[in-house]
Amino acid sequence: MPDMLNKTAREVLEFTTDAIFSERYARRNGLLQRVDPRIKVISLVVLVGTVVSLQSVRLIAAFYVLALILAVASKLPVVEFTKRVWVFIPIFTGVIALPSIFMIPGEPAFRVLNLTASWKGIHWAVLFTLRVATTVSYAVLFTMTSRWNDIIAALAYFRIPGMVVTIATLTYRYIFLLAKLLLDAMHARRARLAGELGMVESWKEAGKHIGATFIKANAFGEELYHAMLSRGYVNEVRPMVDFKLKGVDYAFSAFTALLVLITIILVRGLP
Amino acid sequence: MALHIPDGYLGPYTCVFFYLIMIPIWYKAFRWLKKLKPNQVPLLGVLTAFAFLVMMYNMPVPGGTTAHIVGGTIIAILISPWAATVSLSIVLLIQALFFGDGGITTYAANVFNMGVVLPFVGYYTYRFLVNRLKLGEVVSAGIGAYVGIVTAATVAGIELGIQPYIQPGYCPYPLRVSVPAMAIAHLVTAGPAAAVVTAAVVWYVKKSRPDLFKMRTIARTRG
Repeated sequence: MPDMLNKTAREVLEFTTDAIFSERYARRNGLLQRVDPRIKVISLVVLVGTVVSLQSVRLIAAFYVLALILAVASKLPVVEFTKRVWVFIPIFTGVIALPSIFMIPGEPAFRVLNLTASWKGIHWAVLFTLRVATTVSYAVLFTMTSRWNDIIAALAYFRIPGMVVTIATLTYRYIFLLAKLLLDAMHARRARLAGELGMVESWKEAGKHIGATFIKANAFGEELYHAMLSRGYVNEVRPMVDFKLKGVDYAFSAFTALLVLITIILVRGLP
Repeated sequence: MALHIPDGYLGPYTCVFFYLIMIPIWYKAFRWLKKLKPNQVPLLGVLTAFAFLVMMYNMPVPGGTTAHIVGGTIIAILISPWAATVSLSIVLLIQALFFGDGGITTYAANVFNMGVVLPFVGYYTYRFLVNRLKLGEVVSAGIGAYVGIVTAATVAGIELGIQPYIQPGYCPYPLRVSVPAMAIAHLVTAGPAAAVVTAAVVWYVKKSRPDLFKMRTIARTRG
């Protein structure tokens, strides 16, 4: 029986370490780290949107290779990057796509027991898995080269309402404080526990912990308000980042635009 | 096991459709947000962090694996269903951009499932049971969370299952496979966990801070 206390503690630890590692890569002096966060957010949406719309294995594979090149240019360790991309989502996707090769009718490719796999089924399963891996690559690329404060400032620039930006800013900060409290609570409970928690028992235990965290969060919220008020808070916290587009930003925007244009021409043909 | 749909599972038409669906819902949620008192905005920030944390709990479930709960019904009951929409929109954005959970093209669909369907179905089931059937708050909260998560999983199953009818190359399984797969998994594993956890949260908060529970932190105090 997996243990709720240990597993949750491990998840919190992994989450915190991941965040710290990402922050470390985001401080490196690589290509994507130098690109303006606004340009990066738009490019991410455009690139992922393009990959999601494509129907060709070759083009998606090209986009995957491009993600690897961008990772190298951004001074990210390629092994670590590939591991972060493939572990879990794309592998999981491959596993769930596997039975579908027997379900889609078409020219038979091979037989296992009484099941016939079709070329069409294999094609779509490969396309699906590769597509997922490529989109995850771009998301990881973005994560490993961006800092939350900059992204929040970029969102504020895109006319996301100030209140939402304020809430998001506070959320990100308090996640780490609450995560630490959660970790302590898990260790403390573990230390006082004789034997193991049963399944339903651990659900109840989690419920009580969540209830306690909710009460703590309320207390923090109140204190936070007073602390902010004393510093001149008027319903909104404006991010203090001054954006200025540099050469690299224009170059990267042009590159993304050109890439999309070439992809459209390759798919649709010249008008 | 989670309800997050990654990029690449839903085709472009479905993704755009859910962004269009979410625009009026986000607008309504923003109108709710505008009515908050000044002290409630930072509070909602901390409570959104709380919503993020709720998803980190690893619940053991039948079958030897673990499941996460979304916590949408918990927030809907303790604060308001609109707070759940706002909080989960932010939580899912942070998860999609920084932690690789969910996706960018599927973001709106994920918010629709976990930030709209789940909390609203959970909350109104709870309200119905408490007000009409005069059931206890704790039991009603548990049932509400169960109905909420199973409905959200079914809706996610429908979104995934319509893909083969629109365009191949995305989620390869049709409705007759995807809907039972999602619904049954949540009926027997994550659903019961969410029900017991939510009931325990309501029981705990009601018992140790009845004032906080009665006040419903935000929903009942604003004008």
